[in-house]
Amino acid sequence: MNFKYRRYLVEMFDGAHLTEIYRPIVPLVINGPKGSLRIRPLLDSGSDFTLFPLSVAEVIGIEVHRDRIGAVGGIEGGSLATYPGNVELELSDNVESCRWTTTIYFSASNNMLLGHLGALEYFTVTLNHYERTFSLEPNEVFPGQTETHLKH
Amino acid sequence: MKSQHPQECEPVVGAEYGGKWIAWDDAATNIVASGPTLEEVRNQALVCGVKLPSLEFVPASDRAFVGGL
Repeated sequence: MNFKYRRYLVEMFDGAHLTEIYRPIVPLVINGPKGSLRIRPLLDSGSDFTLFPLSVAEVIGIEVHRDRIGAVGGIEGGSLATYPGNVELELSDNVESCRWTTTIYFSASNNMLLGHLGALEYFTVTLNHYERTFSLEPNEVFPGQTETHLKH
Repeated sequence: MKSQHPQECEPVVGAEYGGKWIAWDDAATNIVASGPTLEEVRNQALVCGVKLPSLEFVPASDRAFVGGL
């Protein structure tokens, strides 16, 4: 499945100029008992697992196991409480789609990171920053279903 | 020699959206709502007629993002 990087304007270093930044943002559908959400997490190859906000779980009724609290750390050195939840994720580029059930983690942070455990571990990921494209192809341990959509 | 990247006509997320939730339309080409919470932005987009808005949290735009919580 092939995707395009997305463009953002960011004050990079001197605070006086805006710079165009390109990020691999993944169009993902997350399914829960109360419905579905289309979300756009950052593909983060440096993240050990997938982390979404608790508000995502609340909107679509995903049961979050608050008795199984964990902690994660970021580059700032801080710590954040996380809670696991079982979800169904769906990834599609309108040519091919992949759907799988997995455990991801939720936290009070708004940042959405598509990391290794539960997500990237099931794909061969290729980043091509120059072309502003990236791809995810399901690998031999992908646990879900794939479907190819015929183009007319 | 390539003189232009192929995606320079793609939509750009402006600095004013840093630290906010945004909602894209069904084609993911236009931002139709922004605000402080996912629920608020989703509701705004649904009112605008977007059937299944794409929801995204934009990191702060006054600094580069290198991962974090």
